Amino acid sequence: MGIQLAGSKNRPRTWQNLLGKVAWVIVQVFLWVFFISVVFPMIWTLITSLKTSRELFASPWALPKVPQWDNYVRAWNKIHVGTYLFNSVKVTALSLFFIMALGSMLAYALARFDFPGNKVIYFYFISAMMIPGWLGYIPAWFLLRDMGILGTHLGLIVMYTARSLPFTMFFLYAFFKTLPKELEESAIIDGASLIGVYWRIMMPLAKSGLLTIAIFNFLGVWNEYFWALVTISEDKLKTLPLGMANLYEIAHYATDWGAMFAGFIIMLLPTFTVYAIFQNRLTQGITVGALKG
Amino acid sequence: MLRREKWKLIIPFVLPSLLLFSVFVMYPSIRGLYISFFHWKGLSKNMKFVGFYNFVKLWKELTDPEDFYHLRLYLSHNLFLFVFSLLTIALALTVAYVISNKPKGANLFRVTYFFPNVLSTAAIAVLWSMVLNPSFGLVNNILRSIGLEEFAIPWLSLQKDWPLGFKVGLYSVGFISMWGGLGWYMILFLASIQNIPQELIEAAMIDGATKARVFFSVTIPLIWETIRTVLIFAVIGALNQFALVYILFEQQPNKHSDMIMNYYYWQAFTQRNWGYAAAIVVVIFVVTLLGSIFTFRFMERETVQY
Repeated sequence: MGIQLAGSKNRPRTWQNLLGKVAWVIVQVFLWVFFISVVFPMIWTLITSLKTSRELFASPWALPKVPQWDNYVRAWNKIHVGTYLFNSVKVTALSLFFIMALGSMLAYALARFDFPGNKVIYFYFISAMMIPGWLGYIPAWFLLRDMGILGTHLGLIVMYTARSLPFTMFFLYAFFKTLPKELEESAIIDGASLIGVYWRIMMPLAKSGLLTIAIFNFLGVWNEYFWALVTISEDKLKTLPLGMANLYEIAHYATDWGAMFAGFIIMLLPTFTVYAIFQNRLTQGITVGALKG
Repeated sequence: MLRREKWKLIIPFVLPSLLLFSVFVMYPSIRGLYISFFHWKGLSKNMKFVGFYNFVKLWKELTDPEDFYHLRLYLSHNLFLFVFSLLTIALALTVAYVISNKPKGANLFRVTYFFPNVLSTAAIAVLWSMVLNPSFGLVNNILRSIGLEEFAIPWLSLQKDWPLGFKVGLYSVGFISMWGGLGWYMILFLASIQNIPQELIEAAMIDGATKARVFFSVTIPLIWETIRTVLIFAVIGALNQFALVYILFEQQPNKHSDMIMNYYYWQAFTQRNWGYAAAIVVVIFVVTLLGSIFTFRFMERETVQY
C-alpha cells in the first residue's frame, strides 16, 4: 500500500485535488447548515416567546416592539406549565433518589462481594437490557391497576426506578470493580463496619461515575413519554413531556401562540441548564455506555 | 472476612432491588410473552387460551391483499425511517471525521450537534411543529423572504405525495429524526476515531495519502466495530419509533404517518386488544433480534488489530 501511494504522488492529481476541494466545501457547508438548524430555531422561539400573536404573523423578522412578558404568565397559569413542571420535578427527584440509592447498593454488593448467586443475579439484571420495554407495558399496566397506583405519581416512580436499575447497576458495577481490594480491608482492620466502608469510602471514590449515571437517569426519567402517556390521565398529574405534547394543540385552539412559545421556553429551561453544565460528562459517558457495553 | 457481617450487608443491599425489578420489570415482560397466546379484550380478567391464533391473525393482516389494516404501509414507513437513519449515520461519520481533525470551532460543533439528543421527543416534535408551521413557521418565513414563495409549503402535510409515494409529512419526519439523532452517532464515531493511534494516520500521510484516502482506507476499517454497533442501534430505533409521529400528527392514528408501534399503541391502549397487541410486540422483538443478528453477521469482517 505504501509503495503504491508513494508512486501515485508523482502523477498529476488535479482531478483528485478538485474532487477533494469540492467535497471539502460541501462538508463545510453542511457543518454550518446543521449548526444553524440547531441554534437558529432556539433563538427564534426565544424571541417569538416575547411577541404578540399579531407580530408573529405580520413581522416575523422584527424584534418584539414591547416584550410580552405576559405570554409567560399565561403559559404558567393557563397552559398549566407550572403544574407540569412541579410534577416532573417531583417525579424525577424521587425516582432519581431511589434509582441511585438502590442501584449503587446493588452494584456495590455485586461488584465487591463474592457470594453464591452473585453472577446469576448480575446476568439476571443484564438480560433485561436486551428486552424491549414494550413487552411489559400491558401486564405492568394491569399490575399497577390491581395495586391501585395506576395513574398516580407513585406508579411512575416505581416503574422508572425498576426500569433504570439494570443500566445503573451495570455502569456502577464496572466502576466499583476497578477500586483496589486493600481499601476495604484496611478500613475494616481500622474498625469500620461494612456499611461504613460503602458510605464513607466507596461512594466518595465512585463520585464521578455516580454523577454521570445520575445525569443519564435524570434525562431518561425527565423525558419519559410512553409510560406517562398510557397511565396518567388527570391533567393536574401530567408530567412535562405530556404537557409539552399537548402544547401545540392547546395553543392552536386558543390561538394563543405567544403563550405556546413561552411555555416551550419554560419547559426547555431545565434540560438546557443541565446540558450547559454537564455536556462534557454526558458525551463521555455515552461512549462508555454504548461502546463498551 | 467476617461471614455473618458480610451477609448482613448483601441481603439488604441486593434484596430490595431484586424484588422491585422482578415484580415491575421481569414479571411483566414474561407475562407479556404469555398473554400473546390468549384472546383477551377489554378490562375484564377473562382470558381464553388461543395458541398461536394472534400470530396467525397478524400474519393474515400482513398478507391481506388489500392491506386493509395498513400493516404493510406502516412497515414501509419504518423502512423509510431506517433509510433516513442510514443517511444520518453516513453524515455523522463524515462530520465526526472532520471534527476529529480539530478544525476551528470543533468543540462548538460537537456541543451544538449533540444538544437535540438531550431533548425529549415531545420537545423535538413541538419545536418542529412550530418551525415547520405553514403560516408562521421559521422555514417558510425564510423561503418567503428569499423569494422562494412557491416552496413555502405545508411541510407536515399528509396529503401531498412526494417521491416513492410517501407523504411530505413523512419526509419531514425523516429529517426531524435525522436532526435528533445525528449528534449521538457523531459522538460515538468521534470517540472511536480518537482511539485510533495517531502513528497509523501519520504513516499513511507520509506515504502521500490524501485526507479522503486516509478516511476510507485507514479510519473506516479501524472503526468497523463501531459502525456495526451503530447500525444495530439504527435497526432498533427505526422499528421502535412511536412518539415522534404520534405527537407531530395530532396524537391521532393516521395511515400516512403511523408506524408499527403506533399500531401496537392503538390496538393495546385504545382498542384494549391486549392479547393481540402483545403478539405484535413479541413479533417486533423477534424481528429486531433477527435484524440485529443479521446486521452483525452480514458485516462480519476481519477485525483489525492495532
